[in-house]
Amino acid sequence: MRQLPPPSLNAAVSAFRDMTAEPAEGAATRARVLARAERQARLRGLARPILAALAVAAVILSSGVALTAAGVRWRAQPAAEIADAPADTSAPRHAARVSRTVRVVPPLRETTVAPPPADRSEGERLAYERAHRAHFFTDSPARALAAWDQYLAAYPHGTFAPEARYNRALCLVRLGQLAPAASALRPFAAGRPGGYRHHEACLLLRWLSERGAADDPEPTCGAEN
Amino acid sequence: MSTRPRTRPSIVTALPLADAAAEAAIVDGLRAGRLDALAAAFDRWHVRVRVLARRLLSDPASAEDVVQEVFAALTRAMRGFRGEVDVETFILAIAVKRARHHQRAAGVRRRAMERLADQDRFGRPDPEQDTYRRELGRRLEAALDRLPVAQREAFVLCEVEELTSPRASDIVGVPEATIRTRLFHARRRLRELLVGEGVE
Repeated sequence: MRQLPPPSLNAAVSAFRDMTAEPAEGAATRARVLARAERQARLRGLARPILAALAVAAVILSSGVALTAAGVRWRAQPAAEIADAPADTSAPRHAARVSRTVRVVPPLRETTVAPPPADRSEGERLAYERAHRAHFFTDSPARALAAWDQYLAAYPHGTFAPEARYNRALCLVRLGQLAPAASALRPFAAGRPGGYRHHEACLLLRWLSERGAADDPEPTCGAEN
Repeated sequence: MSTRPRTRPSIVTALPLADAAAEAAIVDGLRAGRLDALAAAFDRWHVRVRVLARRLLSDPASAEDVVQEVFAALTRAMRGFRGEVDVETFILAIAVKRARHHQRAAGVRRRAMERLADQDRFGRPDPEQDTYRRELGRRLEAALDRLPVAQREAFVLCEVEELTSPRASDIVGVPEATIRTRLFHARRRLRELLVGEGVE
């Protein structure tokens, strides 16, 4: 019988190291790993165009919804909320300091007037649409003012003359021409309470009178406020 | 009698030094999700991972599972590789984390307990040196099964794999001082356990 070396922790470690260093080819595991990775890659390859198609569909759908909503808004002629709306950045800067709850100039995004129906005269329709575009879809109140003036000059008794006059007054406010704006708004404020743009005109006139641009508001304005 | 050589160099020293360019190509390929890069990574490191997992788990089947899990997760994991450690350390760190899950698994624990229950069959050392060494290794393996996971990791990495403590700390993800403390406690506990088995 051979003499065995004295056992120790180091000898045990050495023996354990040899025992566990058995070579293994791992071919089966390699095949499984690669097959799994290939499956995942194939799934990713399939998922990518599907996701892209879904994204395109979502964009088309949302665009359709937005266009439909815009069309409905165009036809529905909704009233513009001016008391609770957020502050309008296009209004004169000091307006926000005077009153946070009253926005003197309605936001451009709100459609205040419907386009003329198709059976109106073509010239009036075109003039109105041009002014409407300039007023609501550009950042140039001067251009909008000119367009409204053009419409009113051509069609002083046109179907949308009141709307044109009111929007023209708004353009004057935005341009800082406060006295002409007050004059333009006064007919609306003098109308019956609840009438077309009566309330908004009263608010604007009050704001203008605080700046000395207008006399006291019309007596009918007190009935609402 | 076994025909295997009685001593075999550590797998650490047996592996060739890593070729930096080849490793970089593998990393790039893995990040791009290329299968050939995954195959190359497997061929390069699967033995290393398997041996480490085997030493951490005392269970060849679980070690094989760890190998599969490590390389299955490698493509995704490599996206988080920042190059702060070398690729092998990064892969071994994944292996250690995966092995922890298996270590905690009830199956591994059960096998370990069965192995402890069968210790009496080891008996006295066989006169044949090879058989004796094998039994010595199995006794250490049984003792390793009774160590806390953290101490076993430190012991296997530093003593069996012969890694430096900084590298072991990179793999395990703890400070180097912690590795040394764990190693100290692991050695002391193993000596206690092996004395009971007649090893000093």
